[in-house]
Amino acid sequence: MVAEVETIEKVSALAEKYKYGFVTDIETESAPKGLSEDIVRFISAKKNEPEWLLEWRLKAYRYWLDMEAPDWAKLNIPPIDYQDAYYYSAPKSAESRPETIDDVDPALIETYNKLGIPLHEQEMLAGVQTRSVAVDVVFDSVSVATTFRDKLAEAGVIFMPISEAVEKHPALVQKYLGSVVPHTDNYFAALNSAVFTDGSFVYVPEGVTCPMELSTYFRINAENTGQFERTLIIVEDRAYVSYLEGCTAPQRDENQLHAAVVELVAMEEAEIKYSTVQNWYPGDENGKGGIYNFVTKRAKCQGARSKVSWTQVETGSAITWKYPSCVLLGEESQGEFYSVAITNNMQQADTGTKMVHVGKNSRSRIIAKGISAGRSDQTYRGLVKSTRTAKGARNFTQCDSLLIGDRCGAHTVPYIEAGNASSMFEHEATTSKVSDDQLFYCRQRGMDEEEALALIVNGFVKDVLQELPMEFAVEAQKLVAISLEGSVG
Amino acid sequence: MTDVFGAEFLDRLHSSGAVKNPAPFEALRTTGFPNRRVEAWRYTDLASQLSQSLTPAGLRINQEQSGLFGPNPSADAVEGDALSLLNAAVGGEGFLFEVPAGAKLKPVFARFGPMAPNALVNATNRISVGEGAQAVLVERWGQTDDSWMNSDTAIDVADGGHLIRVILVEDGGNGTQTHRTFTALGENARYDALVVTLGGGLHRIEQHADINKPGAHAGLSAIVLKKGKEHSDFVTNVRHLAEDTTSDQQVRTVVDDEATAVFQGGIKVAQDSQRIEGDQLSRALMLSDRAQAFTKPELEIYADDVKCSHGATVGDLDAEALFYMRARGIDDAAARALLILAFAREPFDALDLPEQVQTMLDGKIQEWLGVAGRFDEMVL
Repeated sequence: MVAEVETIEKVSALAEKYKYGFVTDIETESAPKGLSEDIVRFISAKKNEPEWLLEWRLKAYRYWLDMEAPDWAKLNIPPIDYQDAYYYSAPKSAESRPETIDDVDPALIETYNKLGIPLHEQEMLAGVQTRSVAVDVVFDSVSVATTFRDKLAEAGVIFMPISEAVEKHPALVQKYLGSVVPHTDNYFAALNSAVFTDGSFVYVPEGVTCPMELSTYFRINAENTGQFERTLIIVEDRAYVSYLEGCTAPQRDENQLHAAVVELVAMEEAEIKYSTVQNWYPGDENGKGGIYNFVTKRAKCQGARSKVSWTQVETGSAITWKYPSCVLLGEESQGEFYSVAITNNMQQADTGTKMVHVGKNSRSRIIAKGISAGRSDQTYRGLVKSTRTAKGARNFTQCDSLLIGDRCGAHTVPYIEAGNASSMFEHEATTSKVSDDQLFYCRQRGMDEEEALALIVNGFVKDVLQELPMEFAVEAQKLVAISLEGSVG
Repeated sequence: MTDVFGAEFLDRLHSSGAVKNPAPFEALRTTGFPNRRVEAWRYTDLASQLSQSLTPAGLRINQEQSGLFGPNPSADAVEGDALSLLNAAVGGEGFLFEVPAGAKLKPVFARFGPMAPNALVNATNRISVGEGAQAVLVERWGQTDDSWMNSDTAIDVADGGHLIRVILVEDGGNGTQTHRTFTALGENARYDALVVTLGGGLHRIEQHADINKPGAHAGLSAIVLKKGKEHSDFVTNVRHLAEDTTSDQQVRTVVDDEATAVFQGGIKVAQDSQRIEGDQLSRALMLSDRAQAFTKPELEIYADDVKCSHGATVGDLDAEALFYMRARGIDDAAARALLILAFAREPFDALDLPEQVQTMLDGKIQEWLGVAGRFDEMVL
């Protein structure tokens, strides 16, 4: 009897852990269920897209039909029925595309308040936060609001939903869409190219340092809906932008698919800092439900001395398949990848990066920290490659895995491909468990086991968290502790 | 139906009457040979090997001591891939090397090949080390132009036994060498392998070791020296299947000209294998811009009380070390040779090699460097 009560308590404690698991009850408009050329046309029509974009989508769709889902990752992906999902879902109130925040449906504002994303610009200006962040919020298939647009426009920065950019800046979109991740790249990129719905578009003109952090917040709300966002960031010569992406979804028993594509282009001496805090619903402790997060992210460091830095904190999703990459074309261009991935319960993650060195003296740095707990499985998969032209290419990679409990797995699969003699690549990796000595030391000073573990793990991931913009680093630290709840004892 | 990879090769083999065991042959006909889309073969292409017309031939054994080697009576197929099937289909006879329990042998040297040009030699070998026995076995595999030597070796080292095995794949000829070893280890048993591959056309040496009992250790190391258009693929796969076991892998690669060297290293730790230590370090020296070095060190870990690490580096000779030696009056060629030699013989440290074996290997490395016999005079 006592044991039973304990179990009930434990289960309910676990259920409360994912505090973003609520559903917003809102009237939505969806495309008919399933995937076909008609659905692709439907999405395109909904967004009033020009002919070229529809053709581009259809080409991707036809290409996708002949492709097979990749099976090389160390993931156990149940077969996905692509006909059993909705590819477009939008709140009815967003139909008219609200001009200002005040026109946005209060139910949506309420949702984002609950998620801790303030949409009111004045609140932020008057509030305790000293730095402001411009936010684009994507709710299922549409962007519902973008803040601080005027202020950004003053600086010449374009920050808007990509569907709006297609209308207002068609030349830019047409030039760069698919230039980093073509529709032929992989199965999920092809699918995304066919049915992508919304996402952010950022353009920072020459010499401009973007006056504030840009951020996009993705929320999946509707049932049986896939989210396919597409983000495109172009930073011209000597310009700079820092961009942050966050995401959550309701708690459901069915799996939902999220297949995004993110493309970054950095010109001469441009710098892009791209941070992600990924907290999609991970499923319950028995692996029921959760998001399939199959994402293609890639940056082209086109100009000389350009720099792209990816920072990711991956705590959510039932299955993660994600490899943010840099193609280092420019001379002395730089790529960085900082990652913390935490898997607990039945989560699976196969994530890492690719650094492809083409330009002379290009440099890259990879710091990946993986933490596996519960019965989860996690793989770091990375590629560091230099072509014959990449004289003096330099890479340093460190990937460490921490195991908590004896039912989880931690795997490392780095590929190192050197194509010329002056490349210098160094790779080091370790796998170990939380040391008993450290735990004992903390316990002795009065911490309970979970606090002690959170402290040790935060120490383990410190190198990566400090790369995050300050406000988010604090959030991420808390997230680390929450994700590991229930993993000791 | 499209033909599997190597279908014509198999047809030729069949019509030559070399196929003795139809079951593995039919299995091979169904799967074909692995092409580069197969993950384990992504860096090695068998296309030119499979386009050859080869004549099946038997293994030629030249043992330098007598009495220890015999033909292998049980040519059981092992758990390998398509190349093991090829071996089984042809029914390649190999050698048997048995060390009785408690025996402590002096180093044993054996030579295999060389063979006739255009020969296809398949061999299934067995090495058995009895309880508490100690042995050092040095195998020298000879090369011949346009030949292909393909073998599977099953090793078992009984409780407390220790086998040190050096496989020297010799320079000379552009032949193909594909050798797989499958080792099973008893309690407190040790298997230390050192693969030295020099020259040749295409070499793929696989070392699989199952550590089945507590206290056992597997050391799988290699020295890979390649130039011209040579290609080497060294594959390791250590499975820690029992608790309190250790493994170590030291791989040193030197690639010059247009050569390609691949290292695919694997450490796997099963779920209930606690208190494991697994180390792996692979370092590659690239001496030419047209050379290529691919490294894929893989860890797959399902237990938590483990200390596993791997390190990999790729780069040119250390400019500072070169400068240091030049500053002390050693000329460039000698300084380079000295640094490469020191680099290449690093795996010696992990092994308890008899001096006689070390001297022989040192000589081979110096020969490869083109400084054999002149080394002392160059440096001093």
